[in-house]
Amino acid sequence: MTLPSSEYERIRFASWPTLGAAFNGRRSSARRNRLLLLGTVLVLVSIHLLSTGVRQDDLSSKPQQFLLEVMRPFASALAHMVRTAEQVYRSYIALVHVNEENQRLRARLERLEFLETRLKELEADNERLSQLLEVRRALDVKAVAANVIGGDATGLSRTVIIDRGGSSGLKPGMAVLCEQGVVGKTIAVSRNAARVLLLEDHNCATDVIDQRSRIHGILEGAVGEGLVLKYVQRSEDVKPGDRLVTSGLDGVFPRGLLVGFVSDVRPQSSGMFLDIRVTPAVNFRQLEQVLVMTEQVPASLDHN
Amino acid sequence: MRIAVLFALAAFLALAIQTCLLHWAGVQRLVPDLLLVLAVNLGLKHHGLLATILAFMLGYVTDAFSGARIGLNTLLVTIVYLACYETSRHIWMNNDLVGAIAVFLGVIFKDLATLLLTGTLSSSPSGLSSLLLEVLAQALLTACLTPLVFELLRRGAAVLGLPRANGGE
Repeated sequence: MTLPSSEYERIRFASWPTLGAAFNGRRSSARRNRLLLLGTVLVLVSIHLLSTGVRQDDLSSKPQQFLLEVMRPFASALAHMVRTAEQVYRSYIALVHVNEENQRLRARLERLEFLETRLKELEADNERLSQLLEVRRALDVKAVAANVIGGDATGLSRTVIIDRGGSSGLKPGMAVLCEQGVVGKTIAVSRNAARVLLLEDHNCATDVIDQRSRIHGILEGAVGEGLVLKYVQRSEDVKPGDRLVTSGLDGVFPRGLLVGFVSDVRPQSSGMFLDIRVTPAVNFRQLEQVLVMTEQVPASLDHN
Repeated sequence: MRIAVLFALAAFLALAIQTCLLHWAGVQRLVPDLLLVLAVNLGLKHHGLLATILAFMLGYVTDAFSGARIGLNTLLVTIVYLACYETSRHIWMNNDLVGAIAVFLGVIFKDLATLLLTGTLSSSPSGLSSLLLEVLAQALLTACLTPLVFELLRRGAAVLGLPRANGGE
């Protein structure tokens, strides 16, 4: 009787442990080689992505847009839930010490407190949006208001997710502002969401002017240290308290928008430039609504 | 394919926590790298071509929601996965504590490589110590959460009817 070869192999290796182990070892080794080969290919693909898709425009690749779009409804819903929970919590805290004898009044007060908190939130929203509207009017360019619905996936970069995207006219590389000043620029846009690279990110560089002395410099984010103004020569006149505004030279931000204030000026221990620390005008931790300029920036907005 | 479903769901949850929940909780600096924990779990417990592709995709997802350079996290997460895979072939690692140590080292490697490759270290030498402290804190936090994530993955695998993962396919 002749056994099929596979059956023969099975019986042979099952009854001969040493050779069976060797056979398994060969299989394991082949599997490992395949896996390492695939791993190497994927590492090369990553390096290719890293070297070719370096900056903003290339970020809006299809898979990334898809992921952003998938995440948006969830992020929006979560943001809404958190805000509502916050309102409810505030209302609850405000009512913790109300006497039980006044339950009827308490119920009414609770309702009123809740409404008041909501009203205050709406007032605050209204005020922020009015200020954004004033900014938009002052800029005299098309702009879209958007809500911040998420942050960066790691702690090392500074980006936020907003709830407006390509359907509202957003594209990568558009200026993002709030009532306090410049926030950053869009780097990836899907249909209904976008990611904004904040000014304080170390990959964000903006050309700015000292409003008093008209000195130019490049403003960059320094992780954990606010902002730094680079390439200003030691002989230049920059003082703490000086206001820095956008120069308009980068083609993203219009000229004359407030970016921050000089907080510290020191000559570098070695080198020809000044070491200048800048406090951003915008509080990036409290961003809720922003304005995205969907129109090409005008050459100048100097109205001061 | 069930492993792909498990890790897609886990990645979605991890991403929601990292980008939304923590953001609204006011945590913007010390974010645990849960996606890397998933990649380490793949490297230690799921040895197969699909696991390798999933690790690559976890890196890509991180890139889609972090920083401005696509490919950076993709590269580093894939390297961390391959390192975990190779290590788990030589050392018996069916223990969550070992997983936590692997995650701790993985986060430190990934963060330092990110800082080096993006030029952050050279651009802000004065803040080097605070940066390194931040990296260390993130690694510790992520490592502390690792056993919990591994346990959730085990339960998820049980619900989906996946065989107990211990380094096989």
